[in-house]
Parts: sequence; C-alpha cells; structure tokens
Amino acid sequence: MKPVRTVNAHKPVVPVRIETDKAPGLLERFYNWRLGFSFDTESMLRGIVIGALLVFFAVLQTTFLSRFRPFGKTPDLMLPFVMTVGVLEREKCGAVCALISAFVIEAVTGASLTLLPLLYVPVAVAAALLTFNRLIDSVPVMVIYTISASLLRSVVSFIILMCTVKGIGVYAAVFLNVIPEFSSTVLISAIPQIITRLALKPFHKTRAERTGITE
Amino acid sequence: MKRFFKSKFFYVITALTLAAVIIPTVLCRMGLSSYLRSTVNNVLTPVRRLADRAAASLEGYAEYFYRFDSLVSENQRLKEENTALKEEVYNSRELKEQYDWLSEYLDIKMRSPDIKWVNASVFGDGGVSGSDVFMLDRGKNAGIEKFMPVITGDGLLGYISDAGHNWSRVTSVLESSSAVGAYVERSGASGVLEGDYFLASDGLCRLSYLDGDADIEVGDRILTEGYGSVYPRDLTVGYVEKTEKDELSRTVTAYVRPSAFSASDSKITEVMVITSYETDTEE
Repeated sequence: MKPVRTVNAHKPVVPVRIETDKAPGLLERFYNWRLGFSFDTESMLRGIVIGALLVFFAVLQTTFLSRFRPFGKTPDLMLPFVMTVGVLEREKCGAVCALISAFVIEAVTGASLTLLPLLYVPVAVAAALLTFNRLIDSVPVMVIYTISASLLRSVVSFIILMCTVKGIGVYAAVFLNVIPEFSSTVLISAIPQIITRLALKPFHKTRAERTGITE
Repeated sequence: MKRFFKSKFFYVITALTLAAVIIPTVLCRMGLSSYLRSTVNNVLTPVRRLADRAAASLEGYAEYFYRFDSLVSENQRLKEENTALKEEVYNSRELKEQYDWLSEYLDIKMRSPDIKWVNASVFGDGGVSGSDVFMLDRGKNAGIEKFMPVITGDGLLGYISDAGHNWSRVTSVLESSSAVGAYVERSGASGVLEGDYFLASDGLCRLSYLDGDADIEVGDRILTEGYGSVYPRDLTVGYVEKTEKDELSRTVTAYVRPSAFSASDSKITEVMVITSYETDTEE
C-alpha cells in the first residue's frame, strides 16, 4: 500500500466584514486574536478529544507506568503523543497541545526544573512541518521521529538529573537513568501513537467517507 | 515552512514556551508553588487515585505471570494453613490490623503526647524515575501544609514538599535533597542524616558530620534531633547498618536504614502527617 500524505481538509471560515456603519461585533474583533484557529463544532470536538487523550496519557504515565516500568524507568508517553498530534493536526495544534502537555506532566510530577516545554513544542512543530513539507507520514518516518525525539528527551533528562540530583555522576546519570529511560520510551511509544491515530481518525475522513453520501 | 516562522502564532507560542519554562522554575527555586500547577493537581488527583487503584489490582494479576511457580507453592501452603486456622482467624484479621495500627499510634502518642496528626493514604509516586517521592490523598482540606513531617507507624518517612487542596507530595528521607538533624539514642552523638542518590536504591541514607571519636555501633537507633522547624525531637529514623571512619577529616559516617522502609516488604500505603507539635522552649 502506498503511503499517503496526510492533508488537513479543514479550513477556517473567515467572517466577511460587510461595510456598515455598525461597529465590529465581538466575534469579529476576536477573530484577529484567534491566530488562525477555528472554533466551529468539529474543531471544538477535535480539541476535546485531544484534551481527553492528554489527560489519559498523563494519568497512565504517572500511575500505571510508575508500577510497570520497562527497563526500570518510567517511559515518556507525552512525547510520542504530542509528536503524533503534530503530524496529524499540523504545527499550530501540535504546538499548543505540546505546551499544555508539558505543563500538565510537570505539574503532576512536581518537577523543580522545568525544561519539557522546550522539548515538546519544537518536537511537535518539527514533526508537523517535516511531514507536511518534506517527508511522508509513514511507519519508517514515524520510527525516525520517535528515535530522534527520544534522543532529545535523553539530553533533557540528563540536564535535569545533573542539575537536580545531588551527587549523581555522569556514569550513573547516563547508564542508570538516561539509557533505560530512552529504551523504555522507544519501546512504549507505539501505544500512544496508535491510540492517538485511532482517536483522531474520524476527523481525517472526507465528508463522503463519514456520511456515506457520494456527490 | 518559512511562513510559519514569520507568523504571529510563532512569536506567541515561543513567548508562551519560554514563560512556561522560566516562571515555574523561578517559583520553584523561590519555594513557591504555582497556582495553576496546584489547580491541575486538584483536578487530576481523583482520576489518578482511581487509576492507581486499578493499577494496583492489575499488579496483583501480573504477578501470576512472572512469579507463577512461587505463587503456586505459596498458594498450596496458604490453603493448608487456611483450612486449619479458618475458624480461629474468622473476623480476627480486621481486628488485628486495627489493633496493630492503633498500637503504633498509641506508642507514638505516649512517647510524644503533644503531637497531632492526620492520616493519609499513599496513591502513587511522583512519576519521576529515580526519585523517592510519594503522593498522598489528603492536602490542605485536612490541614496539611508544606514542610510538615510525615511518619509511618515504624518511623520517619519524610516531609511534605508540596500541598494542594486534596493532595500533597512527600519527599522521603532517602531523597538526595533531604537533610535531617539526628542523634544516636545510646550515646547522644549527633550528625546530619542525608539522602544519597546511590544509597537510596539500597534503602539507605547517610549520617554525616559525626565526630571522629563518636560512640556509634551497628544496630544503634537513630532519632531526630528536633532542631529547626520541620521535625519534632525523638522520632525514630532508623538503625545503623554500618559505619566508616575517615582518618583524613577525622569524622565518622554511618549508614542508616530508615525504619519506615525496612519494617516490611509491602509498600507504604498509610502514613501520618504531623500537623502540630509542641517544642521545648527551654532548649
């Protein structure tokens, strides 16, 4: 089967400014501050689904995966999640989702050094821009994204460990923490990616596919 | 691609990202907790508690896969025991647990009559690899505040490092950022009990800055010294596992196993947060 380039079919509807003596309405004024986001029913629903997935993965990471740790370390589920949202929903949605994800996960874990927004947002934006401009959304490309993003996560984890854990050496940071965490994240990353793709699949069908009516 | 980097959105998201990095880090360094972070935790705590219960049940089932042989033999033995003792232990298990729990309370209460505490359940860790942090299901709604000491029936566990409306976070004495003034019960030699990243994996912490001629032996009980404002005096911390003398600095270092972690193989599920205690002002 040929890999297909994902295209976000939705385009925001721009309200037409009709020249009247009336002052512009609230929605019209607000439009300039929407930064290109759309607030129609489908977009809202999409936002709710992404929000629910975000909470689901945050809870999964901090409860289930705190008990069942592959390679002895908790994997980062939010990273493959924001990457997939970026790939499917493009850079703006990916960036916003990444920023909120980083905030939520750091609030839940009580991190004293906050660096995850600097990782998640560029990862989501880069994945989106590369997919829509250079590469094709396919399994090998997602594997490359996952490994690259997990490597960047390892660098961030290393910096956080060296800055926050007193007395930890480079050897312990790399071999006892960073490498197991990298392996753990890469191993588990397929799960959030598949779940996210399945949950967002209905929003990427054409109208004909959704309704069964062909014009 | 170029259009994105020139768009208004790009500048807004860059500014927000930098703010999301700088503001929480600065607040944390200042010892303040962010209102937004606290709200996120308030909302997610009930969901996380439910998920943690489900995970605990699943963990029990998962043991059937990786500990099958030992579980089969244990099950056989327990069945035999169960048959013989069924009548005797009927209804007594619950009573015994209550009795043990109350005895521990009473023991602490008798030793320190001025201590007031609230109970709390542990529902998960901080979710960060390599840290000894626990989440509790009670917070400011139960009178829990930051820097309150946390104990189990066996001894000192740590202190409250963050508290929200219905949750609080405990940093244990094993955590590398933890430091407690402590002394040897038998001889009175005092030092500082510090967490250490490498020792934590073995469930140990280090009692440092003891004088070179300090009288300390393996098996000695270590108690809190009570200086500072966090821990009351005479709480059991743990027992000395080994000692090391440094001829160069003329100090002794003792390695202590905290009682809260060594008392049983099972995980810590119930704790007590000391909400108030009276200090001896004459000291």
